[in-house]
Amino acid sequence: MNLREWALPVYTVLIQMAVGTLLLLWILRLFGRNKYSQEVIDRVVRDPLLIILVTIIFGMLGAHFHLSRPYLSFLAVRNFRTSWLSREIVFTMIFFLITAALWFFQWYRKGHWGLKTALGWLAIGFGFVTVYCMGHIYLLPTQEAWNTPETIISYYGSMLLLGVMALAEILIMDLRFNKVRQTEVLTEWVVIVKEAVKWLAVAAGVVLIPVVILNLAHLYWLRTGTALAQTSFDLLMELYKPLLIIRFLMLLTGVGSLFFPVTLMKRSGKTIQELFTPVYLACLLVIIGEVLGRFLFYAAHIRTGL
Amino acid sequence: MMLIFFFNGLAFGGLGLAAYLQFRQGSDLPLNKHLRWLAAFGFVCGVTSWIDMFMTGDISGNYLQTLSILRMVTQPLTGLLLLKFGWDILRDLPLPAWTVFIPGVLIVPVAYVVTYAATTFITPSPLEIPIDIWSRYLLYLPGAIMAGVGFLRLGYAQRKQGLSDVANLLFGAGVAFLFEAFIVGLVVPAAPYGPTSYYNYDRVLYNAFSGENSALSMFSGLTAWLDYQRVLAVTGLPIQFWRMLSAFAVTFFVVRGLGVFDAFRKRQLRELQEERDRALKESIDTQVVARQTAERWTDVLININRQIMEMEDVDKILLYILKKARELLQANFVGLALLTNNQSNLELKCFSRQAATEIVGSPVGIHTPILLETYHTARTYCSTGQEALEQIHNLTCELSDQARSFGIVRLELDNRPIGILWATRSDELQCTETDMIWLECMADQVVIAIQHGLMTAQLQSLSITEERARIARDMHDGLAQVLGYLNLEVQTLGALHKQGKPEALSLELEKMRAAIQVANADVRENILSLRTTLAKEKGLVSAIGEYLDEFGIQTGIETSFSNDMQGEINLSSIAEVQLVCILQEALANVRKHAHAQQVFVCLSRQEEKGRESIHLQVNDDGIGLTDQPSKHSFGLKTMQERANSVGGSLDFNSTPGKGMTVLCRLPCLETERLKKNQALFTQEKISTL
Repeated sequence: MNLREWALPVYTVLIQMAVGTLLLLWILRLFGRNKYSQEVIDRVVRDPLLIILVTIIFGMLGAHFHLSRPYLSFLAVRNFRTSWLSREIVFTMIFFLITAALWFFQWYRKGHWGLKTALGWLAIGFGFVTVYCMGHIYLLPTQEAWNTPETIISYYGSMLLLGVMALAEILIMDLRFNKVRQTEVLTEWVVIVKEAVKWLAVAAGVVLIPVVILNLAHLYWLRTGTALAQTSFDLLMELYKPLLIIRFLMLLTGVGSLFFPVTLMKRSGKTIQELFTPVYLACLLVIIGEVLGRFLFYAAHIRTGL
Repeated sequence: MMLIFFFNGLAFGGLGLAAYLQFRQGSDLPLNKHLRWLAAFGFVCGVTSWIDMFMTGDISGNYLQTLSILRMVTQPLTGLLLLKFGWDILRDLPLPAWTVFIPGVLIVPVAYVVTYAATTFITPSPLEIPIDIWSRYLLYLPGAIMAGVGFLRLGYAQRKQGLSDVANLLFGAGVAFLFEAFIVGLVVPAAPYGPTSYYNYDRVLYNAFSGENSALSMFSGLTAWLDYQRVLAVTGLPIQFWRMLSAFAVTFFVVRGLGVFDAFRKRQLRELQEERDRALKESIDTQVVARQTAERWTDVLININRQIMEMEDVDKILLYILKKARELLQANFVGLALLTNNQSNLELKCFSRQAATEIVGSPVGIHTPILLETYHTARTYCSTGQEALEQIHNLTCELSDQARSFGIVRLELDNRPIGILWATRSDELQCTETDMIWLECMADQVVIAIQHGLMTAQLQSLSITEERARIARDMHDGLAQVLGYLNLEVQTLGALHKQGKPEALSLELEKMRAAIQVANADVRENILSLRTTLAKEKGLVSAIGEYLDEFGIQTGIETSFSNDMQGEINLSSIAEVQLVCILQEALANVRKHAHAQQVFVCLSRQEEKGRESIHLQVNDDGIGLTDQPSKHSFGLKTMQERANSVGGSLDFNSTPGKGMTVLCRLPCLETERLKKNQALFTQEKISTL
């Protein structure tokens, strides 16, 4: 893959991560409100929203490196009716704008709780549509390795896995930041993060299983598919085999780095802030695994026809 | 090239050795514990350079392969060690809070670079190329940057502490490491993949931003420096030469910069010395203050004791105690409450405040809960600042500002509470343990003054009784006898008159006149004695002188008085009274029994075995003592008892016909001992403080 083509995974991975993180953050907000004070929940949500917004911006900027003429990127929206790429761009923009509005309300403490809730779910909805369009772009009859519903499902799987890992890391990092800055960190805040990270660790384990199964199923489908599919399979099993193994190892090790330290936190006697390093490492490994997966996704395709 | 690698290895080896030796030496400076990583980095880097040196030489294939494998291990290891050292040194000084987010911000780029690096290993190029490249990009580059920034921060910190020389060297080390990051971490061998491939043929940035616009082609020009060939083409020297220079620069500045440890040690020593000097000065200041305070308190205590000894008015002493307690405790109010006569209530006896120190005229009952509680339950109470307002209500009896801190001491006489003494402050200054000690001391003085007052009153009463008994005895022995005798004589005269015996009548009248004269002399002497004993205000010596003059006039006996003393007579009040009484008794004996023409009185101060005493000597030229017991000897016994009662003694010496000598010794107050006690007391108070 040419270096310029690495801009594609930048966009897809970052946007998927942003949608996944926002989804889980909003679930945390939804359940947290019933158990904890609204003020603390608002405080917990505030900084992660900013990071999600920045992630979307970097994702969109990254995509421009893929284009020959980035300054003409806006022209891509003209084919909304016929092109999944145009739809992807439009929905990404909408997702970004709604998330930006949500961040504005949250950061400046404006707007009613219900309004922000609705905006959040709306952004998540558009995020889901964006991911769908993102996957649908690759459903090309000429690309046998891609032209399968597994492509879209695996994108949603990546979205959830990245979201889980990223949110766990962001919550702990934000808590740590406020501790270092000597902000008055409420006890309730620490409890919320601790509870949330525990649930996220469990969620990571749960999400990983279908992701791995889906990947293995795709490999099986390639192996038993047409000659072109088998060629892709051979590529993966020969030239890219070390990378494929590394990808699976990264995903497993990454989820393990989150799951075990968090679930064994009480036994190890560590505080949630002290788990920053393993959680950070977990997130890094999963992102590497996902980027590697995206590399293999692009590298394994064999095009037929023009 | 071999020489370049040799010197490069030598430089890094030297760096490792210097760092290791400093690490072994130990220091409290946090940098010291990171030096082991720098030492390891230096040694491994040196080894890598010398591997390069051997690989450059003419060696056989097997050795070359072994060295190549070894280099594939040592090369990433140097990067890892430098990364560890850089990370540690960077965190030595507190980082700003926002740096917490740096790992979060870098997570995606790092993930991409690592992934990208992983994909390059499947390219057909030899394995050592991606290992070399990625160990530089991923390990050496961030490690050197962090080490550089770490040294710069360290230099900045040293400069702020005034160590400019060391700071400059540390700045130099920082810059050298940054140069090392550029020359070793960023300039990598050419390879068929990015980012190193940018420099040669890939044009991602170029395509993305300049495209066909040749005016924006500067992006391609910026990256050309990062290529081995371009470095050689532009500078005329291979990259290895520049790396050697960088290694020397790093080694030079770091080794010289290690002088920070010496500077740190010197600074520690200086700080310790300053701290010691400061502590010493503080100690001396504290001692001086404590001594001054103790001296002030001691003076006050001496004055109080003097007043008590001089039997001054108790109220006056109490007022003095309260005033001084207020002044020395820096209190705004000091109160003294005593139990009422019916033993039921506490009443304010006297108080001291800024405006006045007074005895309370009309009774003022004490109802403040904290005062009553202390009186009933505790010896002392020191305020904590946590007392409820109702607890300390009216603590100053509305005579001063509301108290914010206070100390209370219960007065005890024979283990029975008799009142309370308390001091209050209206400022933030809290009562200390020392304050409470002094307040207790003052409370003791109050009790002593009261006790002494009671005893003095009792003693005065006893003295009066004793004096009355003496007068009665004298009247019985003298005047009453004479009057009885005169009564008989009058009866005799009446009988003689009836009998008509004028000669006998005349003879009896003569006897009566003589008896009346004796009685008159006795009465006059008693009057003189009473007057002298009671006239203390004149001073003892002048009173004795006047008494002797009067005695001489009344009795016709020639008197002389010699005072050999200098300064104060230094006898207790009771001893002074006894001395006068003994003198009176001795002179009465002279008048009555000695038939003396002259009497000589001498007053002197003698010292025996370190103790001073006052000697009173009375000599006469009379008939001296006879063997038979008489009233004279009764008087001597009385005198002896008087002397013994105040710890003195009385001796007499007489030869019949050659007069008599009475020598009375009365002990002085122990001034030296008193001074020693005062000194000891002062020292004890200083040590208490």
